[in-house]
Amino acid sequence: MNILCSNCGLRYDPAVNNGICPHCGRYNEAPPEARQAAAAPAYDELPPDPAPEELWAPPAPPRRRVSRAALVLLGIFLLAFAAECVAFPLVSSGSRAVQAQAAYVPDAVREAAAQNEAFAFGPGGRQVTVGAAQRLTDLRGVEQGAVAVRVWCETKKMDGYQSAWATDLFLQAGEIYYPALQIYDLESFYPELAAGAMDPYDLQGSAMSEGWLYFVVPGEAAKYTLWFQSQALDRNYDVSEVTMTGVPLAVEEGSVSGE
Amino acid sequence: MNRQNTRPGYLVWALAALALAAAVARFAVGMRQLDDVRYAADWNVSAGEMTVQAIDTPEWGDSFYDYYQVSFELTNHSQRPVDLEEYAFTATPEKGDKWSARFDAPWDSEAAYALRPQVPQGCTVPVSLTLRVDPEEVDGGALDVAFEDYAGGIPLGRITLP
Repeated sequence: MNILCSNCGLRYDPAVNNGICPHCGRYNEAPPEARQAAAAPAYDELPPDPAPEELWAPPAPPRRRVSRAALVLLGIFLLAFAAECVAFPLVSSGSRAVQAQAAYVPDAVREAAAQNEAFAFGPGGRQVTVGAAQRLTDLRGVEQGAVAVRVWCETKKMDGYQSAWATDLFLQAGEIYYPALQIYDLESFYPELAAGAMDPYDLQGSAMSEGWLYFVVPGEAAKYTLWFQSQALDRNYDVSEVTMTGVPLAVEEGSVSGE
Repeated sequence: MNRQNTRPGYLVWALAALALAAAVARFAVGMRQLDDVRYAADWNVSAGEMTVQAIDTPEWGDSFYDYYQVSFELTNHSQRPVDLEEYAFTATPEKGDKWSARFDAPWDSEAAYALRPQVPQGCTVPVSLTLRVDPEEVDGGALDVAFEDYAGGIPLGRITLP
């Protein structure tokens, strides 16, 4: 008795090879009568008109249908992806424009002061005096082609602490500005100089302070201006206004070898 | 022949999983962009007209490259001073390899106290930078100059190599 293979669909006799399809190798369950080899009929017993062979096929596996939940989730995720592709660029560009406008610092207001004369600095009118300025050609560790310049600075004690402002210091050599060296930069190689240096952050405090301010500037510069920067802060501690007070400096040669 | 697909439902589940992964990845990228915006909000710089002129190879340069002097005025309206270091600016060719041009400068590796030119808040200064270009990799000669704020960059202008 032949059966149909459920894999390749071809007909074969399961009794020949233990139910394994000779065409594709798939094993198919077959009814017991199909597993029995057909006995060779006697010559004279051959039916004159054999009945058409009745084929048996294993039941087809149940057909799976597309899950509705999968379709719904696919739609939701695709919608979320499309919404993100639209929303994020819009929010980013909008936020950038708004925040850049909010953090905008207008052009600095410029004021002038003179060396060796006290002037009022900052919203509290703190008294500041700029003294001697020296070029230090013997300071080692300075970048090639550059030179160190130090400026003596004194600040008076101020009544009341102003919190809504910040300060910074720059030495303008030529047209470019250079920030002051921090004390911890000096301490690494010149602790003796750091002991007599003034921390730029002292300008922001209220206590009296004095000392040298150190800068590294190009060696070829001939004109120097020390700029005291006063920054007015708003309620978010963003800089809202900047005032720069410039002190033109007469720079003389100096030395640190004896210190 | 009986060759019907016995697992048609798994394809939709697989597509749904892919869509979920895409949505999650886009969300991560978008949040990073928003974070960049928040970080970059303090930077607000602009440049005036840019001029470019070819220069000889500097002593510290490499003869394999072409060198140019790029000059412009930089105005700083940011919340903090802008460092006038070569790594703070980028030059990206309009066509060609995006890494084929960069601003370069000599570097004294033994200096403890290096020059740190800056532009204070609310100030404008003239800037002159040395541009190093690989001539084999730049097509056309147009480059976009930007201030590198670590969040995509702020465009300053376009230069054309002579």
